Amino acid sequence: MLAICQYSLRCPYRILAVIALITIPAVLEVQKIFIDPNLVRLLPTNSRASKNTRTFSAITGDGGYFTMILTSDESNTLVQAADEAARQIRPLKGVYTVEYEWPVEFFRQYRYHLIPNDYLEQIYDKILGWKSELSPAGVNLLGGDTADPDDTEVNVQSPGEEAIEGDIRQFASLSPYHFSADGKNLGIIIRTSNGIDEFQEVVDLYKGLTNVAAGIAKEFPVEIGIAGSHRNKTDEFNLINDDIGHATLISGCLILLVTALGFRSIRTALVVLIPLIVGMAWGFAFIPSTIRSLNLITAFLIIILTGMGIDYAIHLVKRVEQEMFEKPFAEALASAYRNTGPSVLVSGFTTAFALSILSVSSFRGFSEFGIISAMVLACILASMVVCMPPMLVVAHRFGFIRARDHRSEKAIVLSRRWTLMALGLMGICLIIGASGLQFDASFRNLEFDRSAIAGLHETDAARNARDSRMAHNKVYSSTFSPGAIFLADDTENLDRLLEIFDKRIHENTWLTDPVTNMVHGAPVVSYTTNTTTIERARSLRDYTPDPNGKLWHERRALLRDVQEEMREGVWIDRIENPDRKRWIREMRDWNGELNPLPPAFSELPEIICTPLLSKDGAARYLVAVFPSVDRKVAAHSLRFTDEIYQLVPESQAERERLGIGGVWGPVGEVPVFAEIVRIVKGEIWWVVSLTFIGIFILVWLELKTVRESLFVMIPLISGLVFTFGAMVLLSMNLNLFNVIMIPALLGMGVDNGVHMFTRWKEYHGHTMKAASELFIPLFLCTFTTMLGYAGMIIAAHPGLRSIGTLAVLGMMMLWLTSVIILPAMLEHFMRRKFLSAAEVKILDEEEAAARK
Amino acid sequence: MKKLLSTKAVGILALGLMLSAGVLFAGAPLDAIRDSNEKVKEVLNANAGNKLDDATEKKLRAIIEPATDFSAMSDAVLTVFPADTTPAQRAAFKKAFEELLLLSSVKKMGRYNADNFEYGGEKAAGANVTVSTTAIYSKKNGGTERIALDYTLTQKDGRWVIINYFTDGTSTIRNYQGQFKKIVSAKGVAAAIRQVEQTVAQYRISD
Repeated sequence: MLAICQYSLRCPYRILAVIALITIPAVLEVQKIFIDPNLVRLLPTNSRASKNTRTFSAITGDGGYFTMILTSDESNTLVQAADEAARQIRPLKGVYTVEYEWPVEFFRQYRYHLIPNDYLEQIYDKILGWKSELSPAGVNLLGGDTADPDDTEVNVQSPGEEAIEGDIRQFASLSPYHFSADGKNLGIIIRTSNGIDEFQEVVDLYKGLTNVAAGIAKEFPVEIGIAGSHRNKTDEFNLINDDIGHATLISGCLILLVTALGFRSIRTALVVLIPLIVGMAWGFAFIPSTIRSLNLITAFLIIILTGMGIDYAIHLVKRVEQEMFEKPFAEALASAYRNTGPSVLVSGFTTAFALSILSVSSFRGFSEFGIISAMVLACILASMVVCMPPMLVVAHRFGFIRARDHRSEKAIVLSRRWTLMALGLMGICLIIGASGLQFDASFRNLEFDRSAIAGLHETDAARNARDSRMAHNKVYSSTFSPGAIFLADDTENLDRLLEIFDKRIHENTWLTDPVTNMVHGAPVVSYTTNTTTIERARSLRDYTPDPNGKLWHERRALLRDVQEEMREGVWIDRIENPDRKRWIREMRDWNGELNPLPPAFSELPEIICTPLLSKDGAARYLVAVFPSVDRKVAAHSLRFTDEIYQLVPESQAERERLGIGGVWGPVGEVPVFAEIVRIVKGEIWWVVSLTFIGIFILVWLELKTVRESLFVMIPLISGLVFTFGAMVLLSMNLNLFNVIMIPALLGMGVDNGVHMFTRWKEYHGHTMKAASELFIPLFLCTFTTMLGYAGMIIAAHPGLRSIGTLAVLGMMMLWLTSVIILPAMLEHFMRRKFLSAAEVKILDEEEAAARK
Repeated sequence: MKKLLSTKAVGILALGLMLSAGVLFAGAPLDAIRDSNEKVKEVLNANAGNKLDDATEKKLRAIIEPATDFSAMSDAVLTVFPADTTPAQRAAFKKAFEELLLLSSVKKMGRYNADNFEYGGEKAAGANVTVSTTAIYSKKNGGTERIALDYTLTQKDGRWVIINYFTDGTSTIRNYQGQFKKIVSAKGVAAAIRQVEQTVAQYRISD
């Protein structure tokens, strides 16, 4: 370091020119970085969800889709616009099918025999319920929460009823197009070739669809919205992108402003920032050739590492300014690098090492975070060694830095009593944090709040998304985005798989956690009984049940029951909703005996087959499994995944034993989410522990004594304890996003303790001197790091907001413990432990003199 | 002397006379319906605008319970319950369900709560008699709604008691049977009992 300083004093421009030559290609390389939103790549390659998705998603897709909803009072206009839109959509990249017509002739031929059994059961329930509601003598016990004892009107639609009626309407009305009940909306379903595993393609397709919609709206007098399961994910992705942009801009400006204020000079702030930017460019330049892209978690590292990396520059520049107060510039530079350089490197490499420990995590969201952080921090440190000295020399020549005595700034050193009170407060926080801090693994709580956006600052995009969803619900009443998809090689495997799911759905129970107990000398296995998480399994068999099979016989019996209930009495006349009255009468009067057999596979129209057959042309069968639980609740998605994994085991031999040797999968977003949750929850605490141990070892290597190393960890531990206590008091939880901040805070927070303790020893135990000198630099370092995250606090995405909030809170606590608790403890309790007898004597004499 | 009537014929005649006397004693099924409707209406009118308090409920019970065989109705519904339903469960169900039948019949649009009744004829079918009525309700929009409300009655302890009622041709017992069949098969007997108890509680709150 000193050699570079010497050389910089002689030839600063030469070094800067070489740095520029290295940095230009690095910047070009940085421009290749992109954010890959593929969630599957966050999983380890050997995870079941990851393997299945990579192997089969090209054949099965993940069930995701877009819908384009056209609205007009003129149905002819809607049809013309839909024809044109479909023509333009089909060639777009990533489009698998475009559906907006129903196979009317096929529906007319088979009609209600095409309705899946579970829908028929729901219709039967509804008919019984409606009949009882319309009767002054009846009570609807099947109506759930919608039942109002005082009301016999059955014309108010509950969401469940809308879904059933929406599904059955098509069989009653036999409309050739995907029209809403009032005929004012026409829907187009766009199924995509890829899903969450190639999400960038989906995002690009959304842009393409938006362009098509804009063109059609100009050509025809229609309003167009885009909805569907992919729209929700695309919105979220775009929101995160927007948040990253806004947060980067806000944090960048704030960091520049605060640095300028801290040095009371915008020019000095530039001296601080330029080597930092150079170092970051070097570090990020490695990404395209190593990790290839950023993921949804590492996407924020540019801001975070700016906040972290600026600390080293601040320490060096402050020290140079301090040294310049007493020495000529050349000596000041050498002295600063001799004294502060090593502690900057130690704290920097400690942070880098702490974060690099994350790389052992099998969750790639963590491991890539660790690898990139370590890589970039190392490059920033290299820049501090190579780029900062010539930068300082040039800055000095042009008057960008000046001599200043930072020791004149006054720190707070608590009295013994206040120190004890602070320690007591820490104990309280420890109890509060330990008892109240929770890990919330729900995806539901991490969804961005559309209603809040709509209510508070409704943007055109938010309004458009909401209107599109409403229009979508008018045309398509039920979801067709499954939780998971299986692939069956042939009808035998298909039927056996459906049988397995059907059995589970009808049993409604799922036995887990077998425990073997010995009862009277014999082993007895007991299980935990759970309610099944599987609602239904959809396949081509819904349209073509085996005419000799149970499914078909049950369907016929169910249909008869429904019609019998419809035929009893004249209750239908009292229904006020004309659409409902019409379809019930249609269904009641339909004679299924005229065509008593289900359609054969060969009779199925392409529009029905395509979404339920493999995309590879091998005519393998897809089985879409829908969860009965909220898939956004992590516990539910885990249970659903566990249940389908149990029903369709991973082991080929086991599947063959069950008669489903030719079944593959599952593919889908729920198993992917579930495995992410499982890994994060399973790994986070040992990752945190490893990070802590790693940091301790590095500090120990620097300080050489265990006792001193442990002491340096005090602000780190107490800062985290205060943070957890504050989180509980502020009703904050750890979640899948912000949990990464715990090891990051450990890495970032250790610097303060290292700097304070080494400076205190340097000043032979003169606490006020050390604390006063470091009060502002540590504040600046912490504050700039906090500002790196501050932009995220105003993010619309709750996950990002929680990262920002936790980081700011944590850094504030770590700073407070470093500049208040640590100096106080050093002053009151540790002097005799860490100083020589001579040093203690001098201090005692100084204090006695001061008292006099 | 040749016997004019055999012993057997005398016995049959005597039994017939006794039964006729019993019928006469019981009154006409239509009267039973009319009588209970009017008495219930009187109590409800007196309580108009107020919550159904204990005293009013007691009065209503005193009228409705002798007129309706709730026990027979709940027994009919219990036929769709699985055979392994325990006696305790059956008893719990009957208690809750009979309370539900009572409360639902006096709710705002309940079978007793029509603004007016028109009485039709009686039609015998075996031991049962069907009485046809039309219940006329005022609607929220100011109009009226006429609903065909037919009662099936049978004799019990010398009285005509209601064992089922049909609304626009829809059987109440059959409807309950269908609903409980679904609930029991999906959630079990205990859940079915719980649901009836919850619905009763809901009626009491909303009344």
